[in-house]
Amino acid sequence: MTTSTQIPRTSRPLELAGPGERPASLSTQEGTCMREQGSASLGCANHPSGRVQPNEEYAERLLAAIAERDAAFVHAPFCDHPEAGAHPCTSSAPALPGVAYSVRGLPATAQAIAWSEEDTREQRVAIVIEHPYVEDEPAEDVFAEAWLEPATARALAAQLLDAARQADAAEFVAELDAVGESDRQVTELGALFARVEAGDFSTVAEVGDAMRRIVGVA
Amino acid sequence: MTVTADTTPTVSTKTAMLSPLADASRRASAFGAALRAMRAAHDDASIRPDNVAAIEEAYRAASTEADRLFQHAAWCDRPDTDTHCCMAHTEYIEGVPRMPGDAPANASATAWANEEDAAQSVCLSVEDGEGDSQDGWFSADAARALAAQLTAAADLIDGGVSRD
Repeated sequence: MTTSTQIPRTSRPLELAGPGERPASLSTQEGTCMREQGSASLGCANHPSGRVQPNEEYAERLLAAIAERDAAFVHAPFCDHPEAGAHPCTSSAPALPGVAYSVRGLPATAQAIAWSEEDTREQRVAIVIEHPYVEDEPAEDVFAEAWLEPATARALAAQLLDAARQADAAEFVAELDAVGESDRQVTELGALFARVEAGDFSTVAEVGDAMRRIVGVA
Repeated sequence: MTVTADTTPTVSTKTAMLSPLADASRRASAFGAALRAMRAAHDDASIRPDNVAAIEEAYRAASTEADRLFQHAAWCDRPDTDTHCCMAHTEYIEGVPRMPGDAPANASATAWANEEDAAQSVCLSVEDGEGDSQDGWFSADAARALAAQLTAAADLIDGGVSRD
């Protein structure tokens, strides 16, 4: 990178931003001032001095430091974005669609990928499970992820295979239809209960008949 | 549309394709839903006392019938209990902290049968150490695909990847 000659190479180039600041922040106060530099002597509202500051040099040094870090970053061999800058490297895998737990539930998705931490280079298997966002539910309630050593990832894979073998009898579509049928019967029963609640004592006998129909003993 | 208990499918074309287990579970579950509705009615303070007594009697009879009808999955880890979503016994797989000082995460996968319709699936549970946990249900084929993803990811890491 040609820009790497503009600043001394440091082991932690991003600390150029100074303590207490977000390292790569070019979009807040300094960015505002830089954008306003084109209007010459106009003050910068966000800068303590109220004047445009000559921080173009600072921005160049910061960008150069980021470029140097990105150029030096060694991606994991399985990284699916080796052309990008420094980041936690991950392999790619499709999110697998789940099934609804019941007619009222929404299916989740799950995904397992290789993961290499950006800073520590620790390599783990990451497993992610995610539910679709539903309005009025907190966003943090839809997502969970865990990091596993390869050996424990294999143990989880074995659990999945065991469970899949046990669950092989599933015929989800047909059985969800069946729930719809019984739900309709229960709705009918609910109407009878509503009459009981309204004080119609004779409905209790009808409730018994309806329940026997539901369980198939009528 | 007279039907008999346990093994004879109902006359519905939709339910006729169900296994005896699923059919019994469906009917027991419908009974359970009726029980909950009945309990809700019982708890309503506006109901007359004589109706409360009648409902309590029907509730007891219905509870007995629901438990009699319910069939646990063959691999249920608590077949001695009443109607519930059946699970196979499984252990949590202990994860590792993403960063030093983080709480470790864990995960598990188990066979699952819905209480209400006996639909069988694989339940994946992930708890990420931040206190957030999620359960998701997957077809057997999707569970196998996820197992393959886990193994492939483990292979990528075990396959001599440099840690420079």
